[in-house]
Amino acid sequence: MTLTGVTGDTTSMLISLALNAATAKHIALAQNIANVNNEGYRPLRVDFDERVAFFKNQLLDPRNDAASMRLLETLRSATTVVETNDATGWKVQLDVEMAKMVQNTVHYEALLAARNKLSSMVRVAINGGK
Amino acid sequence: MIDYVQSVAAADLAPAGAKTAGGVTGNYFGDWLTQQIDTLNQQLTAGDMEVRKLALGDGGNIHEVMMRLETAKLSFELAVQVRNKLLEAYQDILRMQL
Amino acid sequence: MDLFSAFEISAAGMNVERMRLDVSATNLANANTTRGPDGTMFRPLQLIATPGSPFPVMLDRLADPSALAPRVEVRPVNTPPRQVYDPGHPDADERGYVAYPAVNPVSEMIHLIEITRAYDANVRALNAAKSMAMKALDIGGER
Repeated sequence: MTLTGVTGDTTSMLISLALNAATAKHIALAQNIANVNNEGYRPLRVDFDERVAFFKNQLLDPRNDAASMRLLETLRSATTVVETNDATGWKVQLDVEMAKMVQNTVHYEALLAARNKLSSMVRVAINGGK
Repeated sequence: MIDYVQSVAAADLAPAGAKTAGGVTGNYFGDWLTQQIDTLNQQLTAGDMEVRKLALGDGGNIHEVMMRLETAKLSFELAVQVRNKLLEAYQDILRMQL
Repeated sequence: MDLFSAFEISAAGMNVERMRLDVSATNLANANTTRGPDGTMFRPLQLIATPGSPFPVMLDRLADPSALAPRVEVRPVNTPPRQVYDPGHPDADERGYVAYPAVNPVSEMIHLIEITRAYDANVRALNAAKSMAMKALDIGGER
Protein backbone atom coordinates (compact mmCIF):
# COMPACT_ATOMS: atom_id res chain seq x y z
CA MET A 1 0.00 0.00 0.00
CA THR A 2 1.35 3.36 -0.94
CA LEU A 3 0.17 6.83 -0.14
CA THR A 4 -0.34 8.96 -3.21
CA GLY A 5 1.90 11.96 -3.05
CA VAL A 6 3.67 10.98 0.14
CA THR A 7 5.92 8.16 -0.97
CA GLY A 8 6.79 7.49 -4.58
CA ASP A 9 3.85 5.84 -6.26
CA THR A 10 3.52 5.58 -10.03
CA THR A 11 1.37 8.65 -10.56
CA SER A 12 3.51 11.03 -8.54
CA MET A 13 6.66 9.57 -10.06
CA LEU A 14 5.17 10.13 -13.52
CA ILE A 15 4.24 13.69 -12.58
CA SER A 16 7.74 14.33 -11.33
CA LEU A 17 9.21 12.97 -14.57
CA ALA A 18 6.83 15.07 -16.65
CA LEU A 19 7.78 18.16 -14.62
CA ASN A 20 11.45 17.39 -15.26
CA ALA A 21 10.69 17.08 -18.96
CA ALA A 22 8.80 20.40 -18.91
CA THR A 23 11.80 22.10 -17.31
CA ALA A 24 14.10 20.59 -19.92
CA LYS A 25 11.71 21.73 -22.66
CA HIS A 26 11.78 25.23 -21.29
CA ILE A 27 15.57 25.24 -21.33
CA ALA A 28 15.58 23.96 -24.93
CA LEU A 29 13.05 26.59 -26.02
CA ALA A 30 14.98 29.37 -24.27
CA GLN A 31 18.13 28.20 -26.02
CA ASN A 32 16.33 28.17 -29.38
CA ILE A 33 14.98 31.68 -28.84
CA ALA A 34 18.42 32.94 -27.81
CA ASN A 35 19.89 31.56 -31.04
CA VAL A 36 17.09 32.72 -33.32
CA ASN A 37 19.43 34.80 -35.48
CA ASN A 38 22.26 32.33 -35.40
CA GLU A 39 22.99 30.96 -38.88
CA GLY A 40 23.34 27.18 -38.97
CA TYR A 41 22.00 26.68 -35.44
CA ARG A 42 20.21 23.38 -34.97
CA PRO A 43 17.15 23.82 -32.72
CA LEU A 44 16.99 21.68 -29.60
CA ARG A 45 14.08 19.54 -28.50
CA VAL A 46 13.31 17.12 -25.68
CA ASP A 47 12.60 13.49 -26.51
CA PHE A 48 10.51 12.69 -23.41
CA ASP A 49 7.18 12.40 -25.24
CA GLU A 50 8.48 9.91 -27.82
CA ARG A 51 10.13 7.78 -25.17
CA VAL A 52 7.10 7.69 -22.95
CA ALA A 53 4.56 7.25 -25.79
CA PHE A 54 5.93 3.76 -26.38
CA PHE A 55 4.93 2.64 -22.86
CA LYS A 56 1.65 4.55 -22.70
CA ASN A 57 -0.62 1.51 -22.42
CA GLN A 58 1.42 0.00 -19.64
CA LEU A 59 1.59 3.23 -17.67
CA LEU A 60 -2.17 3.77 -17.93
CA ASP A 61 -2.97 0.35 -16.48
CA PRO A 62 -3.12 0.50 -12.68
CA ARG A 63 -2.68 -3.29 -12.45
CA ASN A 64 1.00 -3.32 -13.44
CA ASP A 65 2.17 -0.51 -11.24
CA ALA A 66 5.24 -2.39 -10.01
CA ALA A 67 6.56 -2.79 -13.56
CA SER A 68 5.67 0.83 -14.30
CA MET A 69 7.74 1.98 -11.34
CA ARG A 70 10.82 0.15 -12.63
CA LEU A 71 10.18 1.53 -16.09
CA LEU A 72 9.93 5.11 -14.82
CA GLU A 73 13.14 4.62 -12.85
CA THR A 74 14.97 3.83 -16.10
CA LEU A 75 13.21 6.65 -17.96
CA ARG A 76 14.33 9.16 -15.35
CA SER A 77 17.91 9.12 -16.57
CA ALA A 78 17.06 8.53 -20.23
CA THR A 79 15.29 11.81 -21.05
CA THR A 80 17.68 14.09 -22.89
CA VAL A 81 17.81 17.29 -24.86
CA VAL A 82 18.64 16.45 -28.48
CA GLU A 83 19.29 18.43 -31.64
CA THR A 84 16.65 18.45 -34.36
CA ASN A 85 17.51 15.97 -37.08
CA ASP A 86 15.30 16.82 -40.03
CA ALA A 87 16.65 19.70 -42.07
CA THR A 88 13.18 21.28 -42.42
CA GLY A 89 13.11 22.09 -38.73
CA TRP A 90 16.38 23.94 -38.75
CA LYS A 91 15.05 27.44 -38.91
CA VAL A 92 13.90 28.77 -35.53
CA GLN A 93 10.60 30.67 -35.79
CA LEU A 94 10.25 33.05 -32.89
CA ASP A 95 6.45 32.97 -32.68
CA VAL A 96 6.28 29.19 -32.94
CA GLU A 97 8.80 28.86 -30.12
CA MET A 98 6.82 31.34 -28.02
CA ALA A 99 3.60 29.41 -28.62
CA LYS A 100 5.38 26.22 -27.57
CA MET A 101 6.66 27.96 -24.48
CA VAL A 102 3.16 29.09 -23.49
CA GLN A 103 1.92 25.55 -24.00
CA ASN A 104 4.76 24.20 -21.89
CA THR A 105 4.03 26.70 -19.10
CA VAL A 106 0.37 25.72 -19.03
CA HIS A 107 1.32 22.04 -18.98
CA TYR A 108 3.71 22.63 -16.09
CA GLU A 109 1.08 24.54 -14.12
CA ALA A 110 -1.51 21.86 -14.84
CA LEU A 111 0.80 19.14 -13.54
CA LEU A 112 1.47 21.10 -10.37
CA ALA A 113 -2.24 21.74 -9.85
CA ALA A 114 -3.01 18.05 -10.30
CA ARG A 115 -0.23 17.16 -7.88
CA ASN A 116 -1.64 19.57 -5.30
CA LYS A 117 -5.10 18.06 -5.65
CA LEU A 118 -3.77 14.55 -5.12
CA SER A 119 -1.79 15.54 -2.05
CA SER A 120 -4.70 17.45 -0.58
CA MET A 121 -6.68 14.20 -0.79
CA VAL A 122 -3.94 12.42 1.11
CA ARG A 123 -4.01 15.22 3.67
CA VAL A 124 -7.72 14.60 4.21
CA ALA A 125 -6.96 10.92 4.76
CA ILE A 126 -4.15 11.67 7.22
CA ASN A 127 -6.16 14.21 9.21
CA GLY A 128 -9.19 11.96 9.23
CA GLY A 129 -11.38 14.75 7.88
CA LYS A 130 -10.82 17.00 10.91
CA MET B 1 -4.73 5.36 -0.52
CA ILE B 2 -6.85 3.44 -2.99
CA ASP B 3 -6.00 0.18 -1.30
CA TYR B 4 -6.99 1.74 1.98
CA VAL B 5 -10.45 2.62 0.71
CA GLN B 6 -10.86 -0.87 -0.64
CA SER B 7 -9.99 -2.40 2.71
CA VAL B 8 -12.71 -0.30 4.33
CA ALA B 9 -15.13 -1.54 1.70
CA ALA B 10 -14.16 -5.12 2.32
CA ALA B 11 -14.80 -4.88 6.06
CA ASP B 12 -18.10 -6.48 6.82
CA LEU B 13 -20.24 -3.65 8.09
CA ALA B 14 -23.22 -5.85 8.74
CA PRO B 15 -23.67 -6.92 12.36
CA ALA B 16 -24.00 -10.67 12.83
CA GLY B 17 -27.72 -10.59 13.47
CA ALA B 18 -28.58 -8.63 10.36
CA LYS B 19 -28.52 -11.63 8.08
CA THR B 20 -31.79 -13.52 7.96
CA ALA B 21 -31.95 -17.28 8.21
CA GLY B 22 -32.55 -17.66 4.48
CA GLY B 23 -29.18 -16.06 3.71
CA VAL B 24 -30.75 -12.92 2.27
CA THR B 25 -28.93 -9.81 3.37
CA GLY B 26 -31.21 -7.53 5.24
CA ASN B 27 -28.57 -4.89 5.84
CA TYR B 28 -29.49 -2.25 3.29
CA PHE B 29 -27.27 0.43 4.80
CA GLY B 30 -24.20 -1.79 4.67
CA ASP B 31 -24.87 -2.66 1.03
CA TRP B 32 -25.42 0.96 0.20
CA LEU B 33 -22.19 1.99 1.92
CA THR B 34 -20.18 -0.71 0.17
CA GLN B 35 -21.59 0.42 -3.15
CA GLN B 36 -20.79 4.06 -2.43
CA ILE B 37 -17.23 3.18 -1.48
CA ASP B 38 -16.88 1.21 -4.73
CA THR B 39 -18.03 4.27 -6.65
CA LEU B 40 -15.60 6.46 -4.74
CA ASN B 41 -12.82 4.02 -5.50
CA GLN B 42 -13.64 4.17 -9.20
CA GLN B 43 -13.64 7.95 -9.08
CA LEU B 44 -10.24 8.02 -7.41
CA THR B 45 -8.76 5.59 -9.92
CA ALA B 46 -10.27 7.55 -12.82
CA GLY B 47 -8.79 10.78 -11.44
CA ASP B 48 -5.44 9.10 -11.04
CA MET B 49 -5.48 7.89 -14.64
CA GLU B 50 -6.47 11.35 -15.91
CA VAL B 51 -3.45 12.81 -14.15
CA ARG B 52 -1.23 10.14 -15.69
CA LYS B 53 -2.61 10.95 -19.13
CA LEU B 54 -1.90 14.64 -18.50
CA ALA B 55 1.67 13.77 -17.53
CA LEU B 56 2.01 11.66 -20.69
CA GLY B 57 1.10 14.67 -22.78
CA ASP B 58 -2.49 13.99 -23.82
CA GLY B 59 -4.63 15.20 -21.00
CA GLY B 60 -7.46 16.20 -23.28
CA ASN B 61 -9.21 19.10 -21.65
CA ILE B 62 -7.53 20.45 -18.55
CA HIS B 63 -10.84 21.50 -17.02
CA GLU B 64 -12.14 17.93 -17.35
CA VAL B 65 -9.11 16.63 -15.48
CA MET B 66 -9.48 19.26 -12.78
CA MET B 67 -13.21 18.67 -12.40
CA ARG B 68 -12.77 14.92 -12.21
CA LEU B 69 -10.10 15.36 -9.53
CA GLU B 70 -12.26 17.81 -7.63
CA THR B 71 -15.23 15.43 -7.74
CA ALA B 72 -13.03 12.62 -6.47
CA LYS B 73 -11.68 14.84 -3.73
CA LEU B 74 -15.12 15.98 -2.57
CA SER B 75 -16.46 12.41 -2.62
CA PHE B 76 -13.48 11.32 -0.60
CA GLU B 77 -14.00 14.08 1.97
CA LEU B 78 -17.67 13.14 2.22
CA ALA B 79 -16.73 9.50 2.73
CA VAL B 80 -14.30 10.44 5.50
CA GLN B 81 -16.98 12.53 7.22
CA VAL B 82 -19.51 9.68 6.97
CA ARG B 83 -16.92 7.38 8.51
CA ASN B 84 -16.35 9.87 11.35
CA LYS B 85 -20.08 10.06 12.04
CA LEU B 86 -20.39 6.27 12.04
CA LEU B 87 -17.51 6.00 14.47
CA GLU B 88 -19.11 8.62 16.70
CA ALA B 89 -22.41 6.76 16.66
CA TYR B 90 -20.63 3.52 17.49
CA GLN B 91 -18.88 5.15 20.44
CA ASP B 92 -22.16 6.65 21.65
CA ILE B 93 -23.72 3.21 21.66
CA LEU B 94 -20.67 1.84 23.46
CA ARG B 95 -21.08 4.40 26.23
CA MET B 96 -24.79 3.67 26.64
CA GLN B 97 -25.85 2.78 30.21
CA LEU B 98 -27.63 -0.50 30.44
CA MET C 1 -10.65 19.00 -28.67
CA ASP C 2 -8.15 19.93 -26.08
CA LEU C 3 -6.69 23.26 -25.15
CA PHE C 4 -3.21 22.26 -26.21
CA SER C 5 -4.27 21.94 -29.83
CA ALA C 6 -5.55 25.54 -29.59
CA PHE C 7 -1.94 26.63 -29.11
CA GLU C 8 -0.79 24.71 -32.15
CA ILE C 9 -3.64 26.04 -34.28
CA SER C 10 -2.79 29.62 -33.32
CA ALA C 11 0.88 28.98 -34.06
CA ALA C 12 -0.08 27.65 -37.51
CA GLY C 13 -2.18 30.77 -38.10
CA MET C 14 0.76 32.97 -37.12
CA ASN C 15 2.96 31.01 -39.52
CA VAL C 16 0.59 31.74 -42.40
CA GLU C 17 0.46 35.45 -41.57
CA ARG C 18 4.25 35.63 -41.37
CA MET C 19 4.48 34.01 -44.80
CA ARG C 20 1.97 36.53 -46.14
CA LEU C 21 4.15 39.28 -44.77
CA ASP C 22 7.16 37.75 -46.53
CA VAL C 23 5.21 37.67 -49.78
CA SER C 24 4.06 41.28 -49.45
CA ALA C 25 7.56 42.43 -48.54
CA THR C 26 8.98 40.58 -51.56
CA ASN C 27 6.41 42.23 -53.83
CA LEU C 28 7.20 45.69 -52.48
CA ALA C 29 10.95 45.12 -52.61
CA ASN C 30 10.75 44.07 -56.24
CA ALA C 31 8.23 46.67 -57.36
CA ASN C 32 10.80 48.70 -59.24
CA THR C 33 12.95 45.95 -60.69
CA THR C 34 13.01 45.44 -64.40
CA ARG C 35 14.68 42.20 -65.34
CA GLY C 36 16.30 39.44 -63.32
CA PRO C 37 19.77 38.01 -63.98
CA ASP C 38 18.27 35.38 -66.29
CA GLY C 39 16.40 37.99 -68.32
CA THR C 40 12.97 37.17 -66.85
CA MET C 41 10.92 39.73 -64.98
CA PHE C 42 9.73 39.47 -61.40
CA ARG C 43 6.08 38.48 -61.20
CA PRO C 44 4.12 39.66 -58.17
CA LEU C 45 3.49 36.79 -55.76
CA GLN C 46 0.27 35.83 -54.15
CA LEU C 47 -0.27 33.58 -51.15
CA ILE C 48 -3.24 31.26 -51.34
CA ALA C 49 -4.25 29.74 -48.00
CA THR C 50 -6.83 26.96 -48.05
CA PRO C 51 -8.28 25.05 -45.11
CA GLY C 52 -6.29 21.96 -44.13
CA SER C 53 -9.35 19.74 -44.52
CA PRO C 54 -13.02 20.16 -45.45
CA PHE C 55 -15.13 21.68 -42.69
CA PRO C 56 -17.02 18.49 -41.66
CA VAL C 57 -13.69 16.65 -41.36
CA MET C 58 -12.36 19.54 -39.26
CA LEU C 59 -15.28 19.21 -36.89
CA ASP C 60 -14.65 15.49 -36.54
CA ARG C 61 -10.95 15.83 -35.91
CA LEU C 62 -10.77 18.87 -33.68
CA ALA C 63 -8.14 17.18 -31.53
CA ASP C 64 -5.73 16.75 -34.43
CA PRO C 65 -4.01 20.11 -35.14
CA SER C 66 -2.43 18.85 -38.37
CA ALA C 67 -5.92 18.54 -39.86
CA LEU C 68 -6.76 22.11 -38.85
CA ALA C 69 -3.69 24.04 -39.98
CA PRO C 70 -4.30 25.88 -43.24
CA ARG C 71 -2.51 24.72 -46.38
CA VAL C 72 -0.44 27.41 -48.03
CA GLU C 73 0.64 27.90 -51.61
CA VAL C 74 2.60 30.81 -53.07
CA ARG C 75 2.12 31.46 -56.75
CA PRO C 76 2.95 34.25 -59.16
CA VAL C 77 0.13 36.42 -60.48
CA ASN C 78 -0.33 36.70 -64.22
CA THR C 79 -1.10 40.38 -64.47
CA PRO C 80 0.44 42.25 -67.40
CA PRO C 81 3.47 44.33 -66.42
CA ARG C 82 3.31 48.05 -65.84
CA GLN C 83 4.67 49.99 -68.88
CA VAL C 84 6.64 53.14 -68.09
CA TYR C 85 7.93 55.42 -70.85
CA ASP C 86 11.67 55.85 -70.26
CA PRO C 87 13.63 55.74 -73.54
CA GLY C 88 16.95 56.29 -71.82
CA HIS C 89 16.64 53.12 -69.73
CA PRO C 90 18.88 50.24 -70.82
CA ASP C 91 15.93 47.81 -70.57
CA ALA C 92 13.57 49.95 -72.68
CA ASP C 93 11.97 48.28 -75.69
CA GLU C 94 12.04 49.71 -79.22
CA ARG C 95 9.10 52.03 -78.45
CA GLY C 96 10.92 53.40 -75.39
CA TYR C 97 8.79 51.61 -72.76
CA VAL C 98 10.25 49.81 -69.73
CA ALA C 99 8.21 46.96 -68.19
CA TYR C 100 7.91 46.85 -64.42
CA PRO C 101 6.17 44.16 -62.32
CA ALA C 102 2.50 44.89 -61.72
CA VAL C 103 2.88 45.50 -57.99
CA ASN C 104 0.22 47.76 -56.59
CA PRO C 105 1.75 49.61 -53.60
CA VAL C 106 -1.66 50.69 -52.28
CA SER C 107 -3.10 47.19 -52.15
CA GLU C 108 0.17 45.89 -50.69
CA MET C 109 -0.10 48.47 -47.90
CA ILE C 110 -3.65 47.37 -47.19
CA HIS C 111 -2.38 43.79 -47.16
CA LEU C 112 0.20 44.77 -44.56
CA ILE C 113 -2.51 46.19 -42.31
CA GLU C 114 -4.62 43.07 -42.77
CA ILE C 115 -1.66 40.84 -42.00
CA THR C 116 -0.82 42.74 -38.82
CA ARG C 117 -4.42 42.54 -37.62
CA ALA C 118 -4.73 38.86 -38.48
CA TYR C 119 -1.46 38.13 -36.67
CA ASP C 120 -2.76 40.09 -33.66
CA ALA C 121 -5.93 38.02 -33.73
CA ASN C 122 -3.93 34.81 -33.63
CA VAL C 123 -1.88 36.04 -30.68
CA ARG C 124 -5.09 37.00 -28.88
CA ALA C 125 -6.60 33.59 -29.56
CA LEU C 126 -3.49 31.99 -28.09
CA ASN C 127 -3.56 34.26 -25.04
CA ALA C 128 -7.26 33.53 -24.57
CA ALA C 129 -6.50 29.80 -24.67
CA LYS C 130 -3.76 30.33 -22.10
CA SER C 131 -5.92 32.29 -19.69
CA MET C 132 -8.73 29.76 -20.10
CA ALA C 133 -6.34 26.96 -19.25
CA MET C 134 -5.05 28.88 -16.23
CA LYS C 135 -8.61 29.53 -15.07
CA ALA C 136 -9.40 25.85 -15.48
CA LEU C 137 -6.59 25.10 -13.06
CA ASP C 138 -8.40 27.19 -10.45
CA ILE C 139 -11.34 24.77 -10.40
CA GLY C 140 -11.88 23.77 -6.80
CA GLY C 141 -9.01 25.93 -5.62
CA GLU C 142 -8.77 27.78 -2.34
CA ARG C 143 -11.92 29.84 -2.76
